[in-house]
Amino acid sequence: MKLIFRGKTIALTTAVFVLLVFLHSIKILDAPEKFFIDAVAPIQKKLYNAGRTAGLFIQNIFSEKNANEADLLRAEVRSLTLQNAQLKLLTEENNLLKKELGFSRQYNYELIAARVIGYDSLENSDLLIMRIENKKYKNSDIAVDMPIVAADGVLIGKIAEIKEGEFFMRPVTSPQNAVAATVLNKNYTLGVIEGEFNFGIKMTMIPQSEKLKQGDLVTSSGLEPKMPKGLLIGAISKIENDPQNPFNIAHITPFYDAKNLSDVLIIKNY
Amino acid sequence: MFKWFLHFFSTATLVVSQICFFKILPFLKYFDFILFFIIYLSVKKRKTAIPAAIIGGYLLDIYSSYPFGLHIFALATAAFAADYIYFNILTGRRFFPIITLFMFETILYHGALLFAISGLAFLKLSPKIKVISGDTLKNMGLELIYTAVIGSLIYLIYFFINKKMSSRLLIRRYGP
Repeated sequence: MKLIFRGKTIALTTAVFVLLVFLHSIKILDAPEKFFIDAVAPIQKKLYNAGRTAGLFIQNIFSEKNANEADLLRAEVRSLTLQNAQLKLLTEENNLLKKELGFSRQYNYELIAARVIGYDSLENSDLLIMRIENKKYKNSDIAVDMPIVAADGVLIGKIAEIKEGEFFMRPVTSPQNAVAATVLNKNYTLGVIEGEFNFGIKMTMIPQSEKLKQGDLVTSSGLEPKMPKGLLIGAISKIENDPQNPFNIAHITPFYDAKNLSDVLIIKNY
Repeated sequence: MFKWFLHFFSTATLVVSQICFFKILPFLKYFDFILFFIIYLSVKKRKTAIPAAIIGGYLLDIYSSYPFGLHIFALATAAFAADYIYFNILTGRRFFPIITLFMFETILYHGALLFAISGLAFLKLSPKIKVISGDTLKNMGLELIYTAVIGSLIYLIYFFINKKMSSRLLIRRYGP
């Protein structure tokens, strides 16, 4: 049987490929690409929401209730209640100090509303495709490594790449993501958290002398540019304590799974 | 002309559905519908196979965080390979050879993508990333399994519908 694709076809395909790459590199194709992205965006939003709903429904059918998860949640509730109490005390003390010093400053973040519309088309990539929802802002107003938070201020990722008409978020659970973090324990242990392949987060290189416990909250430390201090990330779920090793590893359960979110906020300025 | 438009529209629809819908679902995220459609066009001797591969690859590259051209290269390679293997190597055109073709094409497609990513990293045109890891291989294995299962289902449904439609057409043309 004859080949339908002969040498001529291969040569023509190669020529078209080279031409497309060249036209894309000199940005001639930016306008039609942006037009396509803008035209398809409303359909993508609806499809993505439908996919999220269907995905959660299927997950609920197949997931099993885990007694350990309930224990972890109880530990978290206890820890959070205690934290809340301590924070209230600190707030009162802080207000008093501010009053005494005659100093008042409010932290206001400049936030940009954005929405998740899909997944990176590259295989095995964990990046999410997003679009800015606020018409006042454009892609030129955002920059790589700006933090992305859920509506209640929990950190869920950072901007990884910006293209015409869209941008990509790298979730905190991505192995290629690293965030300078603080554990809200007695010593306020500093460290760097990285994502794990099973959609968790871990903090490594924790000295043995640092005392951590299950349920301790983890927040951003503010030691890296563009990242404000105090953004909640997750809670410690497990600590790997090896007496032979000078360092511990803490596994952290994030408060949000970025895959289940649609509307998010970008922190532009703080 | 209408068939060309239909195939290109189907390719664009599958691209958008793949990145916004199928990639979120627990089982269907391991099955590449666009690759499956391109292979189908190739084995059915459709002249739209290569243009559809270029258009599908172009749209996937628009929604990709990596440098432009990876998906066009990988899909076009898969289309050419499918044509060559189906018409030159496969002696039988039955169920098992077809499913084996789909599984081989999946490996070839991923291989072409990884080759392109590694090449760009070598030429310092893109950041160096770990392209092969335990998770990548695990996902590839799952994709092969789901390609075999879902590909089989689609093939059987298509074969059954085709058979029914052919017999009805014959009855209408030549009588019972």
